[in-house]
Amino acid sequence: MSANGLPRLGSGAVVGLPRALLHYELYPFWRVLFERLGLKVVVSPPTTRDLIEQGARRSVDEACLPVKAYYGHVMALRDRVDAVFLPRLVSLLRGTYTCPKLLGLPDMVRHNVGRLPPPIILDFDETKRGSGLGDAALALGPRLGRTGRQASEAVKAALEALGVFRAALWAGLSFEEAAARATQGPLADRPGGGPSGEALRPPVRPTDWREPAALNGRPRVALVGHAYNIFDPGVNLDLRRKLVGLGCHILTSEMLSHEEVQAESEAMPKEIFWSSGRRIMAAVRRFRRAGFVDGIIHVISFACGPDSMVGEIAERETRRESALPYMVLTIDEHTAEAGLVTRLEAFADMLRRRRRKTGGEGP
Amino acid sequence: MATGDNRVYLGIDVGSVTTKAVAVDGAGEILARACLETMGQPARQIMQVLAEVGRRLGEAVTVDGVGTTGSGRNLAAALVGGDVVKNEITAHAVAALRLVPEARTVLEIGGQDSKVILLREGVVVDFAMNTVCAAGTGSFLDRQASRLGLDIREFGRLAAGSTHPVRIAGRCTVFAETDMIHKQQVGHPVEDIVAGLCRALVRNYLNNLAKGKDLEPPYVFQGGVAANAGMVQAFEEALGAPVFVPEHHALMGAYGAAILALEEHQEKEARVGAPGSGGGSGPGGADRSPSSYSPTSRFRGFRLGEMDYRTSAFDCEGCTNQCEIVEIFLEGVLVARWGGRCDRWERAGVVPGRSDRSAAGAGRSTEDRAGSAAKAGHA
Ligand code: SF4
Ligand code: SF4
Repeated sequence: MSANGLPRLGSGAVVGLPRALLHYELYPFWRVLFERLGLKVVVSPPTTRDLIEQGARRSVDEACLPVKAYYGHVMALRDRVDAVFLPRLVSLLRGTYTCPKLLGLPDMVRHNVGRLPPPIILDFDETKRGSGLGDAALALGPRLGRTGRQASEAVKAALEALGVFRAALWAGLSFEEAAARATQGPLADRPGGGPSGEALRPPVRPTDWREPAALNGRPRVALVGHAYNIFDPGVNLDLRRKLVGLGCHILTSEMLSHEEVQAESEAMPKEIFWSSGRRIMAAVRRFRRAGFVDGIIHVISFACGPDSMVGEIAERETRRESALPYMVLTIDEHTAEAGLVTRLEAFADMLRRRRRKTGGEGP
Repeated sequence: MATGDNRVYLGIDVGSVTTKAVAVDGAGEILARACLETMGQPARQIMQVLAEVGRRLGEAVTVDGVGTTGSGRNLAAALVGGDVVKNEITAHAVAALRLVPEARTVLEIGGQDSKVILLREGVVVDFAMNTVCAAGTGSFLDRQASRLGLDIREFGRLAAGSTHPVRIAGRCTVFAETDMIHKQQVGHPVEDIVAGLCRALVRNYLNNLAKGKDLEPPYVFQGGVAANAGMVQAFEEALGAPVFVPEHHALMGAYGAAILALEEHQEKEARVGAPGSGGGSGPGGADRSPSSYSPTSRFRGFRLGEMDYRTSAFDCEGCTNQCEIVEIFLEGVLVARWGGRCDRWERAGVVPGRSDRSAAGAGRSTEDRAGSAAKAGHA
């Protein structure tokens, strides 16, 4: 460990990223950043039941499922990496905060997970000068012994990758597609080289969900919730695949742009100050008024304070303002697969029968 | 038979507590029914209720469609040859609407779960189900009745006759039970205690399951618990409106499944233009009794119970999810397989004549032959 609290990592050393929590919002940023700083990046394997069980044993009882999964992912990186990246994400957007459970997470993990590889703990806080995503990342380079120029180039490329990733999500691509688009260009393949931006493919627009094509009777279901609950099939019991299997077309709360989220949020009597909650609330409102969304499913974590509050407001408002079907799915590691399937089937049936009744598109 | 022809539609509802089957005619009238406790042996009980319904129908019928529902709906469809596999919410809603087309709320309390379904203009607009909390389900009421030394019917009658129901905490089974015992010791009459319990369960149902939902009449109350006059009265008091209990309230899931099979058959006929096109499929086709054979249904025939069937399960070791994969064999032929989180096993779906478990990778087998062992008991 060096004097500044960071492990000494030479070029080619391997840093591990836990595939959990805000990984689903920031992965391309981290990946390009570390690669441009000359490190190799390893992402923990996909979430499985076993991994969650391992994590649940290390975490406090009142932890939510995604936090338990996070522990499991950190553990899965042990013995495989030279350092594990444990960012402390306080605020990603001025005026908003992440969940309080995330603030103490790096320290909790450090104390509860044995045989932990040297951690890289870095604070990100948009509410403080010099601690925003770009600035905090910029400070990382010199602390790892890289030149200022290398550091600023790395951050620039990482921010570009993040921009590509977000634009792809906002156009309607899945997490995997968007992440691939943002990280698999020649840019990321040549860490430290190439003029920035040159190889990044522009996001395609034809799939944009805002101008929906006919669906031949397939109901459009909006999945809203934290990115990690919506994108991680191991956490949400493969909800998406199940819904697609039931003939549904999926939209998600991650498909709204920052501008759309802000516009919806500002129109509310009182803005939500959890960043994720703000996005969820905005998505519910946007989808409700879209006209082409047949139903909303809100995925919430059991024992999640922000979720239960935002969920309550969103559900009440939707029922008051519309007749749009709205279902809340509460998920933890004890969620029974059979009960979930029954609910999803019933929901899909309901949307299809309603559509038939109201003479919507399709049969 | 009401319609004068011999075409029937079967509905099978396999729940964790009971397994039920009904047969309806082309007009949706119930012709035969059967109900057994599931007792952890769904495959065996499916065969049994099917055989029972077959006996009651007699020989000269053609099964034109089979619908299955309940937690064992996939198993039932695989064994019997199902045409429509539907979740319990849809099946119960369809059943209620068939009997009360203008129904706006379905209250359903079964042996181990409860549901509320909101209907507007004949379609489901909202629902909730509770499969976790046992408070207020049939099993809990049964236990309390037997603890008081009452038959469940008597329990209902007594409750309905009470004039001063006591207040009982109904939030959870443990509290409710303790509170009841306390009220008994204090010396309250039994009828007031059971009436109080019914009220507590209804309160619990309305405050938790139906929380935030606009319940509107007409109300239909179904599921096994609807037989309890005390519960009906407690609902009517709490809702301030009459609650309709269908005659076959305990069979509504199976009835709904049969109606869905009937509807699908009618749609199929409307599409094709004439009956008798299409074809059955799957192993067992050769063994169908001629009288029950229909070209439009996958139904394997009432003589199914004589066939050798076997269910087995193994843990997939393809990844650390370790999914339990269930396989159903009829006469040694794999007819269905499910249970994986990925489509590694489902991709094969139904593979007549061969099990490609080895091709898909190693799996630890925990085969149980409950199916074939149970078979000896009936024919
Ligand atoms: S916001 Fe909720 S789900 Fe996310 S980490 Fe906090 S408690 Fe868990
Ligand atoms: S069925 Fe698929 S998800 Fe389940 S253990 Fe096997 S490989 Fe893993």
